[in-house]
Amino acid sequence: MAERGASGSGSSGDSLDKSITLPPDEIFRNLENAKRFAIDIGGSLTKLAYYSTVQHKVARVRSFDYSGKDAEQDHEPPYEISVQEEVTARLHFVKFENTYIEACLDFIKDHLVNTETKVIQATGGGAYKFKDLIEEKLRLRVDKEDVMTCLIKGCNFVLKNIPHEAFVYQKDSDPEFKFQTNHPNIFPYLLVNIGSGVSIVKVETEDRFEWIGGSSIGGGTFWGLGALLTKTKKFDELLHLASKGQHANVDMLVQDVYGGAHQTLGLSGNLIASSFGKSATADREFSKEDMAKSLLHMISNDIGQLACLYAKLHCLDRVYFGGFFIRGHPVTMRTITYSINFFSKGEVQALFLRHEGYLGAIGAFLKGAEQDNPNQYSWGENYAGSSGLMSSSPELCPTQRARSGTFDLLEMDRLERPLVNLPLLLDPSSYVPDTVDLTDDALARKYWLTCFEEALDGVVKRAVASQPGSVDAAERAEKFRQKYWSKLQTLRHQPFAYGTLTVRSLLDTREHCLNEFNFPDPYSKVKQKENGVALKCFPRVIRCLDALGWEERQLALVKGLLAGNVFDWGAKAVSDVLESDPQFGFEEAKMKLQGRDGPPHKCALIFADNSGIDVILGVFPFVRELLSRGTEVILACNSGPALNDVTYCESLIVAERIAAMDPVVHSALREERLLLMQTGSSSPCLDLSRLDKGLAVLVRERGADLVVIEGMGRAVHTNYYAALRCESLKLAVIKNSWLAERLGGRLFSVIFKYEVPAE
Amino acid sequence: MAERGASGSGSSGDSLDKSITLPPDEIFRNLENAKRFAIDIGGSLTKLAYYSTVQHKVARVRSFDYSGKDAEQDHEPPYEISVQEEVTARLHFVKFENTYIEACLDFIKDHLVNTETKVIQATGGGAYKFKDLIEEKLRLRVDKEDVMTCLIKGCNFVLKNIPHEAFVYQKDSDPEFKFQTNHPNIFPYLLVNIGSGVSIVKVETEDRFEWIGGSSIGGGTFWGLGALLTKTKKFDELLHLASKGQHANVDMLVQDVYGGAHQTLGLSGNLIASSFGKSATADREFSKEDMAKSLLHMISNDIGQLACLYAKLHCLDRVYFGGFFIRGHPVTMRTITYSINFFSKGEVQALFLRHEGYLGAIGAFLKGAEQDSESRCW
Repeated sequence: MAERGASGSGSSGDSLDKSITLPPDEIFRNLENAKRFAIDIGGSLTKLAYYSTVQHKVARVRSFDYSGKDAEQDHEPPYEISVQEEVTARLHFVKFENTYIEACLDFIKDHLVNTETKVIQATGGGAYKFKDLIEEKLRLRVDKEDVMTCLIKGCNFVLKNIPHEAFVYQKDSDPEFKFQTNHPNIFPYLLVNIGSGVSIVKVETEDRFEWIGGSSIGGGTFWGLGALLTKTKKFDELLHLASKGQHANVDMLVQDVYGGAHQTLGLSGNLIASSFGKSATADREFSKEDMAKSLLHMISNDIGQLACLYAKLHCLDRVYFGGFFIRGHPVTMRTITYSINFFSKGEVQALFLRHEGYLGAIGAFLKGAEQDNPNQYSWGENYAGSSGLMSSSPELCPTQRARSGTFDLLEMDRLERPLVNLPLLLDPSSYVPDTVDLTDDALARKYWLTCFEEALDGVVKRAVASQPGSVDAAERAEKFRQKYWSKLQTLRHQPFAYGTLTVRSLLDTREHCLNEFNFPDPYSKVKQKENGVALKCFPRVIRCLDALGWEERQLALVKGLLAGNVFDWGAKAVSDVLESDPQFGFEEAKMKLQGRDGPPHKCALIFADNSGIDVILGVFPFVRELLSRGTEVILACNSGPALNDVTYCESLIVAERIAAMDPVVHSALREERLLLMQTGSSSPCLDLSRLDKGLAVLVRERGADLVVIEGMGRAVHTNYYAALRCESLKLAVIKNSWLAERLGGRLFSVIFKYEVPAE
Repeated sequence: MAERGASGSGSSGDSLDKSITLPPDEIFRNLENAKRFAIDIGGSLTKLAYYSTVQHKVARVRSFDYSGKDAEQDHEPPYEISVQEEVTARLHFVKFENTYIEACLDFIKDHLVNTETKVIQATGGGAYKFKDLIEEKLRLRVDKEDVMTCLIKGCNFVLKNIPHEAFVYQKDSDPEFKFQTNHPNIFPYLLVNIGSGVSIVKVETEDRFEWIGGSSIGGGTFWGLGALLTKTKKFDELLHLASKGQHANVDMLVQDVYGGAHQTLGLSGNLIASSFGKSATADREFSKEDMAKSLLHMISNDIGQLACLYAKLHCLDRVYFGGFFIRGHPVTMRTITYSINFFSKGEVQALFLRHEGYLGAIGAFLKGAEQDSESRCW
């Protein structure tokens, strides 16, 4: 859990009550560079949003200057790598109880050094109440923003930018959480925001919405009545009490009223006839747990019923619930869902949000940032810096809760470029990138979590080795290990913590954690070496291929693609072989394989996988063949590093070096028949619904009619079932024996999936 | 109010707790001649209806017999007056807490002398639960009647037969009660019956109605939560406490959230933003009165809002409120009315009934009476 890691030192949350020692690395991260603030002060909780720059190291690649030198001889590596500082933008969100607001403001003031901002956007009821305090403490001018506008802006933002933001809660199914893929059209919907009270808003477009109702029975009522009934002042403790109680001890059920006869009436005896009905006349003590549970039921049922009625009155079938009350608490979500289903007879769907509490803060921030138009960017959730769903859910990890206090974090990275759908997707609204939903598949989940745990030592070792000159590499690598390990443990117990759990999300989380501790590209040196070796082999491979007849050549090209793809440091089975046998070569890889041609295409879009042999001796000869027969090629590589995947920058150098050796590639580059593009991603997997906009535009312009997706991450873990509007080829070598077995094959079996769209 | 009269002497209800000496003149009047019974046992309260003959003295006037006499001279008065005993029919309704049901049944049994009835019509959830007890105690066969049918029958009956049965409650006008003249066509309407829980029924004709919704936040919730919060076990005392409280001490109002700025937002600062919102974080004691008032507001508002939404969803503009929760209590009626007006923007009218608590018992009684095919006006 993020705040586990975040509040690592322990009792920070609780101790805040009296003292004020906030660990800056953990709660208000990167505050010194904060550029812009927004604050959402609700009746009980404060949510602070700030936009800050994060400096991290990135590995840059650069061609040597070959002019006038015999480059090949002088330099063993094909290009140089330098580690540079890069500044990227990140949105931070922190949530804490209003009680701590003064302490937090003081803390912010003390740590706010480099900021130039003069204004803080404020929303929520408290924005009015705490205006003077904020202005005095922070010496920023408070710009009040309309609560509802902020709420909706925030909601639209998370629905669009955070994958798997919304989910359905199903009590008796496994998994209980069913995450929704982001639908391209999110409107119209009903938003029920449960803060201290309840606001019910109908949202029709990005800018058009209407407050259609509300209720005073909300989170504040649960908290307030709960505190009076149980003498427990902490919201989370109340939830914890509720999770252990039996509401039927306090509530009058239908069966209590009707005796045993309710069945003859067709009523479920377990329906609550009267909340707290039993405490009216019974002369006995009621347990805190039972009362808290009954209260939670009463409030959740009521909200669900109101939501259902308003939805029906306005002909809406989707209701999103936001606000701090829910907190991913199963009893709450179950009761609300039950209530909506019961009263709407299944016609209205209750949807919950992973970041329900942050909507107002996000919206206020966006309002303030409108001059920079944040909507022109895409944002990505940073798994390393964010608390998982239900991180503050008491019953799941009560011991952890007790220590972690009440701080919850969300961090979002501003992506350099906007991300959009691949125009060639058959049906963007039903596209699901991931092949296996690990929240759904307990066996697969267990396997992969164990797999990632076992691989962790190797990753740590690789990370340290990648920075030989750094004195604190070992220390940072150890921190990385702890963070990723604790994420994996969280995911073992709460597979739904970051949305649908997939191999992709496990890989991405690892990348985020590595970046967090300044291991931007642990494979840069390995990639450099392998690219060097492969480049040297390139002329020989091309000569061999050109000597073959057409049919043999096609077969050899495909074998080459697949053989190259064996070289994957991300796959444990392969890295074991590679670590133990440095002589393991291309020919041998070919031997390991147990191994077409279509009508000429106008333009092929190829998603490349690994650096080195894979891209240089596998993909480039294939590209060259396509070019030779008149097909244009868009070669798309990752924008940022992930494992040993070839990055866009590396691909540029590699292509340049190949062009120097090969006239086909040379002229294609010059004539723009071969175009190198970036995907917008830094993941070993591929989400075709979040691709670099420039790439999407080019795909449309060039009329791409063939998509080639290469590698386990992109063609098996993701996109295996992706349906495209044009011909596609998905190929990979299964480098994981468990997966091979599951797919009915053996280790190093080949996936070669050619699909033609139905007419 | 109806039940005020019924429990006239006051402390009778309280004494029931321990002893069982019920003064027959006061509570179960005319029981000895009771002809027909109906009982409505809710989650918290029992309502007993019985039809009895009442003997009372009437003054009769009679002309003298003038035949063959010079009447004018002999007799000063123009006619004679005699006081006679007359027997008339009367419906009695009694309401008591379920706790006392056994004591009451015993009492009824002991005082029931002249009855010929063999059957008691029973409705309400408790009719099922207490069936055996009633049969054993009263030696009457329990005929169970459908709760909703009885409720609707009772409501239709009072709306048609009791002048000024329904009224609108207007907080700031004088008088606060505005009685409605009986409309010849009472349908369609929405009936919101607030007993321990809340039932919401759409009534379209005498015989056609539909349960369209309900809520567990009802009278039992006020009573139950109120008892837990204030240690006051009596429903009427809770109402009394509530009438003296200031809910704003416990509730978080819009002005509490927005400071003074609510006006610029066009919001009324007195709106409740969060019921009990202040007790969440404030470290102090809250008075019983304030908590009771806040609770009453919370529940009444919620019921009013639900009623309004169901009315709008079913295109109805009149909502009658029945059930024991209201008890003619001004704060309750005011809040429900406010809530309905607020949420429906005045399109839906909240109407209260003078005999709200007896609808089920009346309906059950009528069901039984129907079987004798008696048709009378009351």
